[in-house]
Amino acid sequence: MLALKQDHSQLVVLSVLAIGPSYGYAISKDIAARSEGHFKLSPSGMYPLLTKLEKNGLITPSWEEVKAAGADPDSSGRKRKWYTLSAKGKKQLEQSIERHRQVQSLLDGFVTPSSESGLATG
Amino acid sequence: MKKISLQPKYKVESSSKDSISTWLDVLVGMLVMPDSQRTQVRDELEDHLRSRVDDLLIVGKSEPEAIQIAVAELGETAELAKLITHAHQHSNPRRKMMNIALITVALAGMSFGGFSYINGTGAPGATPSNSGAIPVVIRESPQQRDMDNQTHPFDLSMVSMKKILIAIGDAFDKDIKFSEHARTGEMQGLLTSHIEKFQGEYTFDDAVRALNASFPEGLYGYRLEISDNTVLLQSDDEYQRSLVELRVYEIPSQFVAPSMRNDFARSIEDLLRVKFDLSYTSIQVVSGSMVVAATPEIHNKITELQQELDVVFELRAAKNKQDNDEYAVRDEQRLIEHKKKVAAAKELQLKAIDRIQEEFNSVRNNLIGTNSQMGIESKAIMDLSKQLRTQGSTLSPDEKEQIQHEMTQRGAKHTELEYLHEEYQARYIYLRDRLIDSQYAPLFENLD
Repeated sequence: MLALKQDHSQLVVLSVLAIGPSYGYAISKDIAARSEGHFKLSPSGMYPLLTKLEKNGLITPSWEEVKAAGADPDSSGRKRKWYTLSAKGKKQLEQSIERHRQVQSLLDGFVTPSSESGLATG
Repeated sequence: MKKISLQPKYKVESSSKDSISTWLDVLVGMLVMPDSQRTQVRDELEDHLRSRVDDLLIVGKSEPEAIQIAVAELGETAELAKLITHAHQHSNPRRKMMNIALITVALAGMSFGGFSYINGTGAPGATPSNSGAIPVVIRESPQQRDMDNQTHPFDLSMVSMKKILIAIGDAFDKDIKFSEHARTGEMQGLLTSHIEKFQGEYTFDDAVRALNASFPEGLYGYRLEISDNTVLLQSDDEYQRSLVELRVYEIPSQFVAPSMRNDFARSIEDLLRVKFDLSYTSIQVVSGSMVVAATPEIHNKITELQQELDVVFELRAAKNKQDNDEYAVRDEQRLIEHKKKVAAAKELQLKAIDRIQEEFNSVRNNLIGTNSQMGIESKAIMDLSKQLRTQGSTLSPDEKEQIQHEMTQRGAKHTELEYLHEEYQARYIYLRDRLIDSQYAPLFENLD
């Protein structure tokens, strides 16, 4: 399993929220599922990151009351904090994706057949 | 997009609820932030833990085991508390709202055109960027300085920040004061945090530095304000707010319309935001002036900006004046040139009239001349004709022929004179009309 770096974490979280609103635990599960378990964003990395993204206006929070199945309908449930990608966040995500693609393309230039042949002969 | 509510399938029992709540209580106690934010962090982490426990129960874990795993996954409690606190302290939009509220309250008592201060407990000369170990120190008395420079031994174990502070106060004979946030529990996490030991021979400054090394201000979000006899512990938020001053700035007179004045204020704000954190700054346009609530550092920058803008506006005004002066000189020159041209044209016109008049006089004389000559020739022909009629019988044929020849010659001359006379007459009429035109021309010009 690979631990995500800060820059990648932001890109990954914003990408998850680009699909639709989500909340902390669901985001972490989504990341693990979409990377087939290869990526892990720990809660101690994710919640400060979500706070930072919220403060910077990239995501907007909203609250929902959630009740356990079978719970007393009159009792109060726990609160769930949902995050939605803001217009600013969408723009930031597009820029991050563009940067990521440029870096990837540059890196591809270093692992062309010549390096592969070097590996093969080595 | 519609939210999908993922409802937990299992209801966590009260015993597990208690153990999760206990853990959350510990974590929240370590957070250094206002109560409202602390509650939100707690709610969010509770949702995370309970969702995780629900999932683990589904895959067959026992309840205590599930809780243990869920909590362990969150990492070391103190570390998580630090990281969350740090993330919250980096930017706080609420502070801006506070400043706007402060303006509203303070506007009633402020004096336009000068400076008015609110919350004047701010330390003179201190700035928010002052990040030394002793952030705010106001000392005046030499005796106190001597006392502070003496060393005192400290040997404290498993001690809270609050107790260290009180020990320092006792050692150096200073009152330890706690701000409203410290008294009302907003800084509970900081005050109850413990360190293993606080030991050493310290002067006052060294003791404060050692305290700061154990409880870094930036991380815990507090400030110490030190004077001769007191040490005030306050939250970073309170400290920043204490520095906020209200000042009224005149907007340059070029910006007349309200929208232009608002644009001016927003431009200043945008320029400042490039370099400064404006969490404790509010810029509003009130009655045509720009009212700014901000720290002295920001005010100094605005004053600097305003002075630079004044220079730019003065230069522009000077350039405009120079351009206008140049246009005025150029216009005057053009007017002089125009007048010269008009005068020259007038002179040419007068010369032309003189020439016409001269020619007119000459043609008139010629007309008189041709008329007179034609009269002479007519009379001569009539005399010759009369001589032929009266003396015809007495004249020889040669004499008759000579008289007839002379009559023919004079007739031809008369005819020639008639042609010439007609030409002179046509020229005379033409020149007379031109003279009449030239005499009436000034009259028509005036009528136009």
